[in-house]
Amino acid sequence: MALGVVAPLMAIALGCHHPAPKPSVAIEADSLRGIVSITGTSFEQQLVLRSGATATLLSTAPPDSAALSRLGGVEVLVVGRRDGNRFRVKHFTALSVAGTPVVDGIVRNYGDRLVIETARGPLPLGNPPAGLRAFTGARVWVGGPLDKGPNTYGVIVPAQ
Amino acid sequence: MTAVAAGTTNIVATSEGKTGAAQVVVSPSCTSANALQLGVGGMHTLTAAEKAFLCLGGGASASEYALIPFNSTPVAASAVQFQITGTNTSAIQPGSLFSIQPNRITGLSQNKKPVVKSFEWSFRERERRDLASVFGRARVLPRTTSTTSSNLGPRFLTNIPANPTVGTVVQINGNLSGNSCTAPKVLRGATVVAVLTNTIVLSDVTSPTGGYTNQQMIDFGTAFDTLGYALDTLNFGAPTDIDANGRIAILFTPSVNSIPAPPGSVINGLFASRDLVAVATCAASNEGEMFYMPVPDPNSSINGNYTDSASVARAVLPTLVHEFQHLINDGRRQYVNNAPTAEEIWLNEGLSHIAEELLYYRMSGNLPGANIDLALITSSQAQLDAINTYQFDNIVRALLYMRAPERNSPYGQTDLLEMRGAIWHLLRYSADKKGGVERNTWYALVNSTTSGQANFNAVFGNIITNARDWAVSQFTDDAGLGVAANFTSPSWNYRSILPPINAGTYPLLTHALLAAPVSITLNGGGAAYLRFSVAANVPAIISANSSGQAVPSAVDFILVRSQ
Repeated sequence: MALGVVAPLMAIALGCHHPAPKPSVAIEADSLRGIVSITGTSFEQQLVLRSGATATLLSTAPPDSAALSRLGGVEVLVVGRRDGNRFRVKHFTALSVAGTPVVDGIVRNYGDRLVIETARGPLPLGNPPAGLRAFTGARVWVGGPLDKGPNTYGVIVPAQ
Repeated sequence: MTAVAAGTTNIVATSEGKTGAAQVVVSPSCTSANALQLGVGGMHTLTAAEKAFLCLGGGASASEYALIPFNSTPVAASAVQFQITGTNTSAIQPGSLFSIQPNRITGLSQNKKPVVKSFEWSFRERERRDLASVFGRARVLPRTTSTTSSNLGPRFLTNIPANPTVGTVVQINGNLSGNSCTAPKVLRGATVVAVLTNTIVLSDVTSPTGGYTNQQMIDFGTAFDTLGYALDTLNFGAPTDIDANGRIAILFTPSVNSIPAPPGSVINGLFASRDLVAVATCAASNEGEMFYMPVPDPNSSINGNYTDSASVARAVLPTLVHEFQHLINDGRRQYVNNAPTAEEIWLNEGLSHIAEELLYYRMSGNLPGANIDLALITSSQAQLDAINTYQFDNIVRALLYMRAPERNSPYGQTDLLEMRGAIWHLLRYSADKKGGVERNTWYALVNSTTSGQANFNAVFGNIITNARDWAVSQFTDDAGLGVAANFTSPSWNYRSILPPINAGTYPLLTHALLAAPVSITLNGGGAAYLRFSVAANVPAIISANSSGQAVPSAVDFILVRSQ
């Protein structure tokens, strides 16, 4: 999955003020929603998507496996196709962290304003944590009210 | 703006699409009469209002405190940033509460290679290219519901005969390139060096010259056979025996040496889950329980990381008990306990580091719960050898974590040395707190059908509660504060044993909380330590905000009076 591509199915409020988005996800036939888990040992690692009592092994291209491995504990939507007992991931989107919806996108600096660039356009951050500025160009997830903060965040793909 | 009453409110202003927000706190008066007063060793968890405004101290005598914010989010990758300011606070007095200890010459860590920070991370980056779903493939195989190791699982044709003749050569896939199942087999001849009760010792015929002698390898195998094997099976359960040879193979091979690693780093050995899967579904499998161990390379024929034979040799037994936990864990989850997935890495590695610690107890004669300190581990050459050989790496990993407790977490999903230090430390703390027969605790964790935090929670209770108390204990343990047992680490006196390997100081990262705001970023499971003193009769005000707003409720603030 190329950087900056996010699943087009996440509904995000647009406008000057952006309350915490609540993703409205229509699950495609070849998509799965669940919490990422990284199992195994240092030598052999597996990406697993947990949804209730169901655990599905994920198979990904190297860049996405690196990105997904930074999302342990995060709820994601993965899109791809099933292959036996595995699910081959084409792309994915972070949905929520500890039950709180998050936005998945690229950190951009528009003048003095920090925005999250999503497939539906840039979402301004009204009061971002200072530390987030260090991740300009990175794909991140951001939680909390986008208009006034405070925001939690995590890096999905570091800036190149 | 006119304040009419004490309280907290948020002001949000928007102009031409730009929005600014600020938390406004109208403070009540702060006097010694209405200030929070704690006795030495007293603790207080701040309310939401107190995070924004806390009036503290100012009693008849000066006092010192540690404020410990802890991010109770169960997702380690989740970062939150906030600022804390002190008014009428001052720096703690030098030397207060063991903040500096004399640097004693102990002999600790002599002859140890330095631990390279976060080396495993780069190893992992390389290895996860395939993520071969080994575990899932294995599930297509028939399983037994037996809880013992006898007659477990299917019988495969194996590359390792049940009773090979010493001196013969068998063919083993030595490809450790990281593409675990789909990488082509690279068969390497391995000479059978010894066939022991529980172990077969194999030596790669392509090993560099100047490496182990046969007798050395027999000694390694014997040590594992008679000591490590029993130790791990007692605590974690019996291994599977999918190749029906009744033994674990130990292959000493330069394949391990060849795994890319930073200069000066070594890979002390590994277990490959692929080998517990049939070739039909995992082409690279050796279809048998086995370990891969590096060989000395005194002439740097492969690289310069394994030239010190003694150093490489010293790591063999601890590594074998570490890897054996992985083997037992993985095999039993697949074939005995029918768990849906392998264990999560942070807990899996933590349990293997516990295996190393258990070996230390066995070799030193010391016991968990004995608050092992510098005096004990330096009381004899045998004690010093035991700590240096079997427990030093656990101690150093814990030290690395303490140097960076804000951005690291015991349940971190990124396999860093800091995470490993933290989870070993937390598992030890939690086991001590739980009490009872300790091996039952480890057995329960390894023989679970759940994994990760669910597994931890089932055995120890909520991991967040445990991790929070454990984080506090890193400041309060052995600090002479008389705190409750929840805030102690009964097995190890870290304030005694860490300074000698950390330039004489206790490694826990702290900040001085003074008038200038301190900006803290905490990951889930991370903790910060802010220290300050309050003068007599002049109460201090502590206030915190997150981007001008109230600090998220997921961040707990625990206040400890330390003097």
